[in-house]
Amino acid sequence: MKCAIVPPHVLDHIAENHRDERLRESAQRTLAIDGGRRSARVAAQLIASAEPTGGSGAPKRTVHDAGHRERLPGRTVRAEGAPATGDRAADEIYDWLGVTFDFYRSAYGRDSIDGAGLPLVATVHYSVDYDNAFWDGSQMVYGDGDRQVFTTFTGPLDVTGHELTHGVTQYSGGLDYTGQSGALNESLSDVFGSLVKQYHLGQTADQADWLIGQGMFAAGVRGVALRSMKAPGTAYDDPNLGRDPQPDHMTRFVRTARDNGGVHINSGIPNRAFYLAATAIGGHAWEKAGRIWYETLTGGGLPKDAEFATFARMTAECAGRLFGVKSAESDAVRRAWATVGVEAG
Amino acid sequence: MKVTVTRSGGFAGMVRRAEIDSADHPAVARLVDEIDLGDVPEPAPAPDRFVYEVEVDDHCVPVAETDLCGPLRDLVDYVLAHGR
Repeated sequence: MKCAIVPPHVLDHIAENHRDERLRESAQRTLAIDGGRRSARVAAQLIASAEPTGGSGAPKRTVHDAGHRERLPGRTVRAEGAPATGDRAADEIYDWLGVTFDFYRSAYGRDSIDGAGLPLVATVHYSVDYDNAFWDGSQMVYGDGDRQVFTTFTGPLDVTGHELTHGVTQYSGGLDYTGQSGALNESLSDVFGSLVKQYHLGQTADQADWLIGQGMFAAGVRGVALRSMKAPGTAYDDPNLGRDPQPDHMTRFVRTARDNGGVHINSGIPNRAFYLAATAIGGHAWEKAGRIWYETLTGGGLPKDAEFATFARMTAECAGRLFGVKSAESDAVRRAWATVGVEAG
Repeated sequence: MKVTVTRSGGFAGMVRRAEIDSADHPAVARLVDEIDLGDVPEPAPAPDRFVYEVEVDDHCVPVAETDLCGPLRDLVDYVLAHGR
């Protein structure tokens, strides 16, 4: 597994010795900005300027309208650079695709979902009263919701961040979508879905709501969101929908055949581990905790059938490489997993 | 004849379940005659897609959203819309 961020000692070296004056100044600025500690965003820009990926750095978005049918991709309603359509769902998605693209580019130096400038294709108004959004392996698809339970799938930014991250996971080698590896796949989508939202709002870990799908429920539904990374199992409790079934600890792991072995249920355990690590480390969660999780996902060493303990051990190792084995960051990661009952090794 | 449909998965990960008796719904009896639950392929897991369980009397099969078409799709839609 590689951990691609520029470590401080390399930044020091570039700042002092690199023959490109522009890079020297950039490295000096980075070191000055965070007082010797790394700023992931600036470091990512430095990587991008030092090693051009060939991407333009701009998204290539196309939004389609399925017209409530199920044929994909549907009629093209907005191409990259075109003015707003006036259709709320189409325009929301155009914007959220752009924010998610910008997040991955700025935070991690990633050029789109595949790391190689993949065009971002989305279809809105899919099917009738469709209570879902999904990544189909090559594009995004959004229903309008049934209006009784869900009023929108295009409104909350974290839904788009979640779905596009399924694409990032796919292009990173994938995680089998069943059992624990499936729950990790789901958790990674929630983690980066939440981070896209935090990045967009400029929030630090302690300012974020750590909710997934806030603002989707129809009036009258008793709940704040679909999932809570901070307190799994508390997002909703409604007479018609039942209660949020997510566990917050390994001892409450749910065994079920449904939902591909409870992938949307047991994701609560790694979700809370990320929340605990991010809040213990502090600051912008995408810069340190997010980078550890991102490098673990994309580093090439994550087995497709990884269980929680394997992923936990790999995040702890990655934190050690990025920040030092005895760093506060490494300690936070190990404690986070221990708190949810997962042995990080 | 009792027909039960359970939907799980999807981005929301919520379970929806509905049951119907074909004695009260001739349309259900006709659709059940048209389907063969032994023909349904094993679901291939796909991110955030719905997963269904269709149970006719005591025979229960899992069905992927992407494999839901024809009379089986009509049956699932009918039971979720009119069942309880």
